Amino acid sequence: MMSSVAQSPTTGYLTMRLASEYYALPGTSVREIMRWRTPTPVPGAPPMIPGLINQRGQILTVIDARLLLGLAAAPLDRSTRLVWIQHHATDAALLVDAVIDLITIAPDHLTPPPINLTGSAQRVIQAVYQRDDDQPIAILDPSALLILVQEAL
Amino acid sequence: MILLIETITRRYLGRQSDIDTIGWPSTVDRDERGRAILRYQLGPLLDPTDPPASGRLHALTIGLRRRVVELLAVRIDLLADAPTITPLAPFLAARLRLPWVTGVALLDEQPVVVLDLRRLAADLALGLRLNHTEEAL
Repeated sequence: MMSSVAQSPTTGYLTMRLASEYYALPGTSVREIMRWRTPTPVPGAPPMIPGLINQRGQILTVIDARLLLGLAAAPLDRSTRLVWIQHHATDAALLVDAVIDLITIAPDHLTPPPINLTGSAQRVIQAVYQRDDDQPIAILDPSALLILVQEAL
Repeated sequence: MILLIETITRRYLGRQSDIDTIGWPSTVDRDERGRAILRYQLGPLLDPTDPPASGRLHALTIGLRRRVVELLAVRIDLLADAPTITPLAPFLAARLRLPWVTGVALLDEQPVVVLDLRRLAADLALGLRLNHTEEAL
């Protein structure tokens, strides 16, 4: 006789690193991961926007995730990646220090963000996933992230 | 018609309709109507990493009511085939320090920004600059 085990649906997340911190975006908002290439600068754009890139005919605005989240700027290296995010009608390329992995997380494994978060982190971190033997991963809300871009520039 | 404007390290696009004349830079300080002529090298004006060009440059001349602005570039060409121009992402367009870029087009698969040359000239005549040029000028 087979027993039915209730399983909560899992969601895929792309994990990435900024400085020594780990973040994740829902896989549904990620279209592609790209290697760094020098963008075309836009005169008058803030430092958070290093420029524009072409990815197979789609022009994407590059957003430096470090500066968006209030972290210090850092030099580019071999692990630097651009993450093409898409939310509703908005596309952008998020500049991150490294892309780590694609993982699945059950909703009941997520915890609310710490109440002592401040600044931009408070607005864009929607949950935290605590891995057993490693640093926590802050789950980013792509919608809040793009709203923050509009307001923070 | 769309102009391709080249500086030492950058390429820009502009609309020919924004420009009164294209030619050599003038050698006088005022035009025949007594308007002061303001001259700027477009490269370093728009990008601090774009060095000033030496040698003979081309001038895009834009006449305003009280000023004439000459924007100097290394090379200016009229594009035979107008590229498709895409507006900037709204979150970027709304936050430019000065609204000198109206869109972007792909040339040789590279994004090239489209300048509002008349707006740029009008702002220069008013003394407005991008941050990086304020100390240099």
